[in-house]
Amino acid sequence: MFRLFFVAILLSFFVIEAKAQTVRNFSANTVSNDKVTFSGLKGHNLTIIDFWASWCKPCIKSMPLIEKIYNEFKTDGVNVIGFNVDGPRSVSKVKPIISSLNISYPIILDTESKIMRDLNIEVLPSLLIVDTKGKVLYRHEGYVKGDEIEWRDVIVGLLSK
Amino acid sequence: MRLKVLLGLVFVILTMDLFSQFSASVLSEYQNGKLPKDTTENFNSIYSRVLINYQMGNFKVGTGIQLYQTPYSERNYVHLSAGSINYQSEKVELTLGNYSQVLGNGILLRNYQIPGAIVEDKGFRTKQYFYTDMLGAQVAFHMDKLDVKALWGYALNNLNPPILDWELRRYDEVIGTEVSYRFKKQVLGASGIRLHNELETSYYGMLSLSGDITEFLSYYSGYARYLSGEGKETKERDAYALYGNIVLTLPSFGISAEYKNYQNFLIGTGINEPPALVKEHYYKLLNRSTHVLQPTNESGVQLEAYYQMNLFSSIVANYTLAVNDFGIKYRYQEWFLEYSGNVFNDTDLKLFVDYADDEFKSEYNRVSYGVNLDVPLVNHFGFLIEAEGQGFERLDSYVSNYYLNFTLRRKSKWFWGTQLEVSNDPFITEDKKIWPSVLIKYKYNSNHSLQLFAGERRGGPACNAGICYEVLDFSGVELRWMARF
Repeated sequence: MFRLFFVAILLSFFVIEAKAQTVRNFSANTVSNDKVTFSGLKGHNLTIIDFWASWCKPCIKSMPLIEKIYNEFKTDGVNVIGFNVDGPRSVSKVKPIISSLNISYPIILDTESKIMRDLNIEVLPSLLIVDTKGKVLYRHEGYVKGDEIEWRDVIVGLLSK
Repeated sequence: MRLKVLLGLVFVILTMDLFSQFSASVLSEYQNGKLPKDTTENFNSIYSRVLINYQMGNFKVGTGIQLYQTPYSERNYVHLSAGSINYQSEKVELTLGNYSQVLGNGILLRNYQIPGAIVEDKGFRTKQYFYTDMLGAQVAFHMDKLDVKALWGYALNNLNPPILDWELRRYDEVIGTEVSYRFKKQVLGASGIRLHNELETSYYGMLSLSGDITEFLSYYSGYARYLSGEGKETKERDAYALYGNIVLTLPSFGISAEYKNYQNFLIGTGINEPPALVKEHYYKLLNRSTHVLQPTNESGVQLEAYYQMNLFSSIVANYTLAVNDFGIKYRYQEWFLEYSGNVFNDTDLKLFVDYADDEFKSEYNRVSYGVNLDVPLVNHFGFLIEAEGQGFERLDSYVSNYYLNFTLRRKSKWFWGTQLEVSNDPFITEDKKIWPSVLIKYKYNSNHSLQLFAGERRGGPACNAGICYEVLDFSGVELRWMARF
């Protein structure tokens, strides 16, 4: 009986499509010490949320490409929010990285990893695309070259709906 | 009958999809193997961690369980690892149960979670997810210019695994508060904690000031010290932590300088994590050689400069100095230089060279070097090559370490990798030793991924997210499943 139950759970896990998570409104500080809220930052159509850290190599690789996507779609109501999850040990590296990569979208400091935990982020980088209600429509973990093409296609698809 | 039950269960679980505010994540790891030096036979083990959340508007209820099962009963456990009720809005945040918090830039209190890290400890030989948290209650108020936090709880000491009693794992009771006032791009902060355990009751306070001096120049300064209490010896009462940084960021050039001076500043069983000021490398061999901060006595500086040649090409130079005085002075010095760029038709190239002297670990004239190549191919294929080498003098021997990785990938879906490590380090092996392994990752969809490791893994210190921990050697097969619902 226990084995059957276990098999059923396992099967179900592979069938269920997770559509569950929603970004709750929050208040946080940007890297420039400005106070911001999610409701004030989210895009009119879509919001791209990127979790990254200074010690995460693929994160740094992906950021200029996210910036490119931001510049391409910001007039379509797509905003980008970067969440830096560096701890106190390495948070001093954040500003130089943003500056060196010419990142213009807002970067929020999630030093306590609160928002990261709230959204069950377990891999860096993690990229989410959420709708105006904060509902997570797309989630991508890690980064390799070419992923940005998939992100672009997903955004175009979601915007055309 | 059995089929009906099975179908019934599948139906029930499928209908959970209707309750769209449920979310869950699962991390499971099956191993068949052993520590290479163990004289026992290979054995099977399974570690699993499940987190389930229910969200309704601004409220969230969460719970979590972790379990570890092996043929050795003394290592096994099933443990309720998390449980919380949380309310979050723009202005207010309230949590009852398990929560994560940082006070005074980590100098007074820091909780952390290392994503995906399942750690087996040497003493108890059991496994657990690598994180710390508090169990109690916290509240935070966010106003335009003022942030206020207050908390009470028992801090998790993750050196003690879940097989031990609650009192040992949550030895330190903490009451803390922090007030931050924002004015003209500056933040003035005041924090304080009361720590209580069987041996001591201690009060610590901290003041900090941070902000932007100009558009290009920012800084952080903080000073914390032991204020009063009972249970500490006189010399331990001389406890303080001084940390400061200044960062200059110009469009294509930047410099950061940091200073630290910590004395007797390991609070309780280690609830705090002051900034270490040691570069955390993502290169395998250098990461293993990271200097581990000793908050009981350490002072030093870190300087870092970068020059951005274009969007994808940069040079980073770093200098680190850390001095520990335990009656005898130990000095750690490191110089690091890295080039990172885009060459030959979209190929990513990274080159680094590093020189260090580590008196604490008796490693002298340590030279490390390496190259990373990430090459895209046709049809979404690509490959990654990582080659690193390291050599240093220790006692009468010269130690050499090498690491080689070749990974073929297709999109973010498939990764086929093979790794090789070689070392003649007498602290680890009598002769030259080789650690060969293969690693295959498969992402079924955005909810499920599988990872298979086979071969031998070299252990040692690993540093991630600013936290260093010990990874044990392993020889065998390991299958990991990560899922999200």
